[in-house]
Amino acid sequence: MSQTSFTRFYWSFFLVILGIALWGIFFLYSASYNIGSEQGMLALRQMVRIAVGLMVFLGVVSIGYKSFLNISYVLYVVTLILLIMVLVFGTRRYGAQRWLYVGPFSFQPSEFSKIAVILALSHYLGRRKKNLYQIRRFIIAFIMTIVPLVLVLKEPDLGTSLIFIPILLCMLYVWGAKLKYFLMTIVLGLSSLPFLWMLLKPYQKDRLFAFIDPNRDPLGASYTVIQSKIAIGSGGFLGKGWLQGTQNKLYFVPEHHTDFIFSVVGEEGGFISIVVFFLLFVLLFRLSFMAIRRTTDVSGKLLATGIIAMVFFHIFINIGMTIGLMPVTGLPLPLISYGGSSLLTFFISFGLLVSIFKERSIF
Amino acid sequence: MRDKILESVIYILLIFLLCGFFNVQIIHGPEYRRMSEDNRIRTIPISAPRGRIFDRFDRVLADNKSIFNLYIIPDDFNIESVPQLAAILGEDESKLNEVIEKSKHSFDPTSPALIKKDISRTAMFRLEELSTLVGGLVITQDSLRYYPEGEALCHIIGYIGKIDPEEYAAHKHQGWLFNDSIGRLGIEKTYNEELMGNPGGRQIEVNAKGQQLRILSEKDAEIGSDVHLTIDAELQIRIINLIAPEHSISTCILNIHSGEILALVSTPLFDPNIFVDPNKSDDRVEALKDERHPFINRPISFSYAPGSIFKVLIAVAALQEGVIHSNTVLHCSGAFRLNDRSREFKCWRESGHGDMTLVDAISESCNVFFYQVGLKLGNARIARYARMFGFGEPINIGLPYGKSGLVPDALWKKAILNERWYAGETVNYAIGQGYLLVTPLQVVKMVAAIAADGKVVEPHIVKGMPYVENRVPITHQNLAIVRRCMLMAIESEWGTGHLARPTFFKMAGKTGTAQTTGEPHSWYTGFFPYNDPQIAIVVMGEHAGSGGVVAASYAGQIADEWLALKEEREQTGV
Repeated sequence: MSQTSFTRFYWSFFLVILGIALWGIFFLYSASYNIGSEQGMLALRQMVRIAVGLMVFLGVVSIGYKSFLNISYVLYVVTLILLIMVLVFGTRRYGAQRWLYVGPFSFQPSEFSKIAVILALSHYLGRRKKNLYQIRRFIIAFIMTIVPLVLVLKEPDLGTSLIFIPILLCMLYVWGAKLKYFLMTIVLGLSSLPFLWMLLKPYQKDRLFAFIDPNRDPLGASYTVIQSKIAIGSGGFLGKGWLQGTQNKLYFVPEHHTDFIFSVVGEEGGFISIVVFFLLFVLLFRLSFMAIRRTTDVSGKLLATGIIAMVFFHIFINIGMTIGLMPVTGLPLPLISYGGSSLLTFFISFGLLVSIFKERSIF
Repeated sequence: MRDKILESVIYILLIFLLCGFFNVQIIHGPEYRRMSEDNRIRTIPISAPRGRIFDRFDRVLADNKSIFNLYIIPDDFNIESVPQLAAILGEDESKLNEVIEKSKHSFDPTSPALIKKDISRTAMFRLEELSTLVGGLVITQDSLRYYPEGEALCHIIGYIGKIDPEEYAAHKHQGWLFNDSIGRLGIEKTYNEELMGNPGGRQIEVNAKGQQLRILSEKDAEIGSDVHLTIDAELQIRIINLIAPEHSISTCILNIHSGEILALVSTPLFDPNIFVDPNKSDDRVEALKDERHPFINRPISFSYAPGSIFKVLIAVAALQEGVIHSNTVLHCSGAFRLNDRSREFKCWRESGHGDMTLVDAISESCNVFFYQVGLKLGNARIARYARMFGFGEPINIGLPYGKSGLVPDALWKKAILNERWYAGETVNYAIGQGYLLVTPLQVVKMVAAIAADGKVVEPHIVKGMPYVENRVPITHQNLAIVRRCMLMAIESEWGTGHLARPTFFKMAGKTGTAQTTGEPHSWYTGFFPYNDPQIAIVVMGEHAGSGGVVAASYAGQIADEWLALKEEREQTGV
């Protein structure tokens, strides 16, 4: 009985993420259609990465999340070291220092840091009772999150650094933290805003200003958002058709193959495609929450919560930004945006989720 | 329980997001569709003025002029309006047609393409008027780089040039504009990032005819940062006025205590304004074809055989290593042989100098004395001392394209040429000939260290560059002996550098006549005043003949100018 239900779950999950990733490829191809020499190459490279990602996914499922939890502190420390190395030796691209080179491969430790932090937090909170010393747990969990957050912020990668906070809050919430502590945290968080503001780079401040007042910077972030809105809006209900988009072709929407891929979806696929994507996302979340309900292991539950929160906030912020509901922060869209480190992080995360569902059958 | 709440919150937020898309795509869809089809939004970038460049007394060396430029937006501009445009601009119609036709094929026909730079005020007003009738015309107030001192500081300030498409693609994300210019030489190049400001721009909505309906948003351009130099522009100009036009001269005046470069001259000169002034493009072509290579900053970007000025370094090394003393006597018979079968190494004076001490040998520039000293030192020790004083490596003074020169030794020759080192090469080495190559700047740095009693301050041309001070491990006594020798080279009756004698005070120095193909290079280096050294000087004349004649006499006049200017300033209280 449990074996069949796991097989069904496994297959459903596999098909949903495969569906999202493959459909994303179509739009990625379209987005890069006009980049001269790069034509088709981006989509091809992304396909190879997805294939690798799926193998990693299957591998993680068969290893099981418990092995990852057991070495989570080690992973956490290694991640911190890598983040420091990026700041010292990292390669600059697009004005930020996020990449490390290992032979011919480059990767962004900040992407992997998300999953490392989630693992460490699950391990830490999962083995501790929520009724005892809750304040202390709360503070230690915060410190575990703030350290990588500040390192990522220094790269500078505002988007990735800020995503740590909602992930932590969701995990603490599901763990069972008292609501009054949440209130205290919010008050504390608001009072520390001026301090965080000082850490921001001028262009990051510009982006936030542009979000509040879109007329502030016609050449920078708000220009991108206006053009992205025109692209999405002009798609209407049915869209302009695959490869038929005009806004994204004429370089109106910069960085569309990485961060603004959803404006291509909106323009060429129309509202109907947006709805289909949303349905796929809802399916993904339904399956993910099934893993939370099924497991009896607190660490597993927290791990699943962290992953769900990470995936959700990436989707929400990335998509929200394309229609001006969220500031431009440069967060990738899970499974769809072009970029190897981000893809791999999400495939590992989904592998962990599926294995949380599976491990139950041991008992 | 809590996971159910979390799940519900996620779905609610997703629905909220979907409503956003519904709003943009369905409710406002037709509106955006129209905007996308007409492509109603135009972005007009406004380039930022570059920061200014000042000399040590805040004299402006690079400035900006405000000018009006005409752009067209190719998609909005109707080709039928060309005759009207040509009439206002006073341009040939077919030529204008060509420019506009070309712009239509640019990578983005909705962004402005430059048609004419620096249009007159009257043309600007008439074009403003025309733009109410004709779409796609954009007039912007931009800034034009302007170098008030023209040629005088050309190699230091450098010049700017328009970026090419590859550079644009590589730096787009930093906010560089398609029509931006970047530094190509000099301070304009090394300090490009500081000098470049942040561009501004405005976003406008146009109607179907391409005429501006309203400004959607606007941002002012921010001027770049200023750069302050250690250069004394007045001194630099006075030095240039001394130099005969037929000479290719490198000279550098260095403050030996602060490492500040007061003047750095390379002739022939060019006018940097030809690269920015749209009316001077013919001059630019002319200058680029000049066979005397006016764009090379000779004191740092060319390396030469130093000839006899290198004897100063050999003297320092020989005294410090103890291979000679100040009273060691060596004989010059006019020629020198390594052994019976060796070729003859000649002294410049065929009859020979007779018995010589170090001070005689430096002041009369005897070769045979130094052949013998060089052999005692050997190539490895000569190379070690040369490197100690900074030869063989580029000096970062804040300008691009600094050459490292070459300090050879047996190891180098084995590694690079795969040949063994011959004793005869050491003999030549000692008088600054052979593989050895130095830049005039390296020479002046060496002399400054000798004048400052062993203190080496890294030379620099930009105020605020880090002050780096080192010492060469040479005893004060030995340095004093060498300074005394250099004094005698100028002041003694037989000294080769007596043409360098300034009108007031005494200078110490050394001449050099470096053999090369064609006429020899003329070298002089020294410091001034002898009793209280302030500045180090190098003068190098390419193929200008004897160092004792050309370079030495320039150096004497330069020292006079420096002193005169200093006294003028003290009197006027500047």
